[in-house]
Amino acid sequence: MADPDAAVDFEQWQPPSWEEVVQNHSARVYRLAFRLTGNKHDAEDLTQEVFIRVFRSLSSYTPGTFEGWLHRITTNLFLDMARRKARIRFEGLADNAAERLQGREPSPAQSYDDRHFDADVQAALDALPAEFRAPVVLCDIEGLSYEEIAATLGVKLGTVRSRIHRGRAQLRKALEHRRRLAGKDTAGAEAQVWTREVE
Amino acid sequence: MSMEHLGERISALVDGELGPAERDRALIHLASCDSCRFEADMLRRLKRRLHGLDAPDPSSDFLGRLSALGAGPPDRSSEPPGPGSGGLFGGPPPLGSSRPLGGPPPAGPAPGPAAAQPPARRPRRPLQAPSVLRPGWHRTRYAVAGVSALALTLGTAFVAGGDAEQAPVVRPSLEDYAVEHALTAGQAALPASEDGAEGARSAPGTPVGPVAHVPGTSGGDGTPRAW
Repeated sequence: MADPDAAVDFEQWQPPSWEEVVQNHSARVYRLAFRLTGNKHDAEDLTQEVFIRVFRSLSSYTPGTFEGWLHRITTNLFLDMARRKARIRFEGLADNAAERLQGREPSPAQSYDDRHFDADVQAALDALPAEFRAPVVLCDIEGLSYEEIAATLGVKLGTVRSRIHRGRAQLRKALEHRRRLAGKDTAGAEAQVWTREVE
Repeated sequence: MSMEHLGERISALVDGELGPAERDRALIHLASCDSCRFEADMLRRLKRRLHGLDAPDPSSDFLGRLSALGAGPPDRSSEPPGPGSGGLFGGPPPLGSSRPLGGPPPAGPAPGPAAAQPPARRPRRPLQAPSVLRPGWHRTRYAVAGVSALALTLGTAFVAGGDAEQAPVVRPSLEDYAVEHALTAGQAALPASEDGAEGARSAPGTPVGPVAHVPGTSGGDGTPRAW
């Protein structure tokens, strides 16, 4: 969705209306929030927090910088949220886990493979510490460069590289662990499907 | 071990984040190192799988709540609630059509001043709104969130905060939203269904009976008028 405003003179340029901002950016912010948080309710809360910030700074909006800024505040609000949760994770852990499992229930229309693997990948992603999850999501799902991720997270390029690498290593370990469990449970179909996927 | 393994450079290689010289060296290493080649292959697959993850779209209920965030800036609370405030939220025409490039600012919502208003009026309390909304963060685990649930949460939160100034900010816009949502979601609009019921009830009383009843229900039940 190319922003036609980018080509307009600054003198004639008007900040976008709230409707336009919500329409143009909410789905993107929400999807990033969903990937970071791993569930619908937290994704909605995070997205709402982001848009409260957006609303406050709409008057200082300048074209061309908005998307990067959205990535930055979404990710940083998520990291804040993750830190708060880490502090209170003993309260309500059971509720949260139950709700998360429910929220991830796949639709019956999905194929067996998709259901199985997407749920696995998402679960592995959720298990990743937030500091690793954020750069991996920004890199692999959002397609940001290391430099953009470094700017988003406010860390050095080398830190980004190392966190992405370590994050992926943990993801792989988690996925292999799940594969082994699945192989034990129902040795037949799942193991075969997995083998096809891996090879 | 004349050449050490790529280590985390392997992620940078897969991401296309190595400089030309470093990439050449890495590729030369890959050509002769089975284990790094295997690693690179696995990382590419993982990257593809992550990229292929499907994220859901936000629900229309939630989008309505987001829109409502912008529908009730403080300076609008003095205005009479009318069609204008509903239009700010749920204007059906495609975005952009309301504001030609380089044209005059939109007459109605005036987003610039509206957005500038909260910080200008409350310079020392920029964190007020999120801290008020934050209870929802924990509460959503226990409650199925709906528009009305959010309205309650916000309403009580504002009251509990004792901030009488901000209460009108949220409530009118949510009421507008409820009406707008009923219209846009294609649910039976109240006026239309009442019209239809009225027509059906009054039809037997008219002299021509069935003859008048048929055009009355097909043409006069509010369908063309409502939409």
